[in-house]
Amino acid sequence: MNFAEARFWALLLLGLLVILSLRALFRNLPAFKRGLLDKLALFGLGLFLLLCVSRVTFIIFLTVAVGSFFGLQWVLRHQEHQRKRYLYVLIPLQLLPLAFYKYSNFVVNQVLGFDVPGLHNLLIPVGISFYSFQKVAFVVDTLVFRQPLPRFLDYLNFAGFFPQIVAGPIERRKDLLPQMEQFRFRWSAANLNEGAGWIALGMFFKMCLADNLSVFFDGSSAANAYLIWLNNGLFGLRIYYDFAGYSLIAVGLARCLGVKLTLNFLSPYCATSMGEFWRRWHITLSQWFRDYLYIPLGGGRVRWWAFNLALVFVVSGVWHGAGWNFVLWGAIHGLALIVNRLLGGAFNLPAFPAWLLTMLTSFGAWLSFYETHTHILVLKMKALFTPQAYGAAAWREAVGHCHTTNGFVMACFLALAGMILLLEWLSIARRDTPFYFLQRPKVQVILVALTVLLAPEKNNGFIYFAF
Amino acid sequence: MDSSISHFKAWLPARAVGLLAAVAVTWGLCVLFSLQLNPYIHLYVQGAALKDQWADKMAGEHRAKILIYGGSSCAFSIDGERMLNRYNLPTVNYGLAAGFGPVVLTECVLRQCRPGDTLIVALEPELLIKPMGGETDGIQFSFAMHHPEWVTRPVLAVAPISWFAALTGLRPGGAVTFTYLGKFMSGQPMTRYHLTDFHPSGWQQTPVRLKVVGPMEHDPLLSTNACKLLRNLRAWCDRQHVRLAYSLPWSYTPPEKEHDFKLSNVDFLLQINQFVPVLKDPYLGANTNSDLYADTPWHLTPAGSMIRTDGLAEAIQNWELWTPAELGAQKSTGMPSEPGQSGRVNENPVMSPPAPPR
Repeated sequence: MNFAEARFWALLLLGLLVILSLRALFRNLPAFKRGLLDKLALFGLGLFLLLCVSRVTFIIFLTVAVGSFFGLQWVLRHQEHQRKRYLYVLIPLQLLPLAFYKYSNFVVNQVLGFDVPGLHNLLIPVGISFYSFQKVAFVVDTLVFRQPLPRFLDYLNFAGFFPQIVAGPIERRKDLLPQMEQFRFRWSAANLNEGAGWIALGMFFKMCLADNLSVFFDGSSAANAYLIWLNNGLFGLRIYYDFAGYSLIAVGLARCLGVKLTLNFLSPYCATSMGEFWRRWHITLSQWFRDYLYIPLGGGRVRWWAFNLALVFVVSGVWHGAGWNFVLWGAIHGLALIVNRLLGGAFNLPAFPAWLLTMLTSFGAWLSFYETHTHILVLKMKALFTPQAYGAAAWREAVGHCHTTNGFVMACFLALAGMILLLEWLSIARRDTPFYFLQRPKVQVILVALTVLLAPEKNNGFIYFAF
Repeated sequence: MDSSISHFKAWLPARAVGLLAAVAVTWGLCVLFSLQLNPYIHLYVQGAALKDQWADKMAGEHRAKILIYGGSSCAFSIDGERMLNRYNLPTVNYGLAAGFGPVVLTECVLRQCRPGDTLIVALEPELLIKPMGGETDGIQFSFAMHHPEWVTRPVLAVAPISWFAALTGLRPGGAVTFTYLGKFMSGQPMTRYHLTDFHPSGWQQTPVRLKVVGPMEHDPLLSTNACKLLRNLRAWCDRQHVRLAYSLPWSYTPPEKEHDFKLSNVDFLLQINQFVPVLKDPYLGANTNSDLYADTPWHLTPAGSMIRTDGLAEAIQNWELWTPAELGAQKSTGMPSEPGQSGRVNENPVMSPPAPPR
């Protein structure tokens, strides 16, 4: 389900046309049956779109979704005091496909040192990390908050709501399930207008900024600190615009259908501390880790809070990918948050230096996110902390590199990305509403025009599809 | 009446419709720019018209003609007038721009092929290694030439794209837009080459001289679509009674890299030879004299072009083709005997060609 591909929109249109025809055919049904038809149609549309992604993805999704429901039903049949015990069985079972497809190669071949060839080229089914976490949250929420088991069809629509199934947002039961229970296909100009606005902004982020910035990313230099910082910057901007773009399109699509999804990004590059950064970056994942790992471990009110924080971020790193670099990425963020908490009270930095420090940390950490070869990662990290790597020769090399890679075009896109960040900052600073100025009708027309004009001929896949 | 208008206003998602209208209007302007105003496309449309004129002239004055085609390396290499005047070979140089992609370049030349003609493929190796089809410049060129079928329904049935993909390709994109903006702001000409650089036979030259760095190394493995293109081209030429051969373009190669580059080229030619006969050329695609290159490691100067033209003319006159054994011998003669990779198909090519100068 690549929202940047025309194929997705053609399939969606086809599916909606079929649904409209069915509704017209059965327009004389009683209201409650029409509601049922709408829910069935939504589920069918989701399955159809998922099947068009790949058969493996489709089968594994159904296995996890249906297995979670009936597993939970089985747990609920037991006495309340026994349920927790069964939960410890059900959750690992829910995560089993994720563990196999995503981590078996890393654990078996890299950590344990075996050489099982069959695990080398396992393709990770699209969205498995997202929907597995959503199902785990559903099971826990149902049991902890003593919620009733929903109707199977409503649960399936909650589990397989197509705009968010492959890359989030990871929605919670209390937010999405009631909307699925009330779901109807309704024509609403207000919803369509709002949805179109989010889709336009998401498309601009993805197709105009992320895809164009990715062209200039070249991680080949391991010794030139300027080039490493340049690539960190390019990657950091690209991954933000890529993932935020996807999430905004998902929000917009859902809104067109009358469903409200959580905004996954609230201008994280405007943050002035690492804590704030994580309250603005991939919000639904951060909340998931907070509620289902950090707080059960004791949260921040226990003596070992620093360990909890570090563990949560290392696990968050591993969630992003099976590799030592992701472990390191998580550890850097965990450490930064610990330092932030320890020193935050003592040093009350003004906003600009605080923002600069936050950006240096987050963009510096992107290195260990994109550089998957551990030995090269070590070399690059050394270069970042070596004064000689910032010498005049390195500067000349970096300038020469920019000349040979069409530096003017890169500068234009960086300037455009910078202007968008400025508008994001203004939206928060002046209106306290993320993306406020980017949602203004005239600005949106400009963004749409820029997308059509500047989007490259071929789009890249969404980065987070790999997670 | 008022209530029906207000009802319609409430029903109409005006903002969504407005955004769709913005998409349509911007796309329309992009099409206008791509087909009418883009200096790069405009230059090659005019260049192709010159080549067509020469082809018509050769067809009228001679029983059969020779058509040689490829990217700009071909355009800068073969002097058709010299071929005609010195060797009595009526030759049209259909070299255009590598950025158009091999499918469009081939389709463009095929419409001029008549029974009895000779077609020389001089496509740059990169074009036959990387995935092909849907190159934006190629889409825009084919539409500007009023031949959208070159990309949507090519004669050789290689890498066709949908009409939707073709229509969305009629946009400049960010790199082109900002490159032109930069040139405009700095007062540079919009394109490096001009129509006056084209000679009547299609041969192209430029007064620009830049330091060249080479060679343009390439993976020796043909892409799946390249195999299909060459196979279908061979079948088409057989049906049309057109004589077909491949001639490897020359790339500037520093002496210390000559050996390895030739070795790689032999592997490449052994694969080409499975589909299309290869004209003999002792240079094997590597020329070590940088003075013979103008502004890129593919673009020969008039002096370089003279040598290349004379060599090609003699090979065509005598129809000297490499046999696989001879090519294999080129590998072993003075070259370390490394295992050849002929016959393998490159599914995941990693090399990408240099961006064409605009």
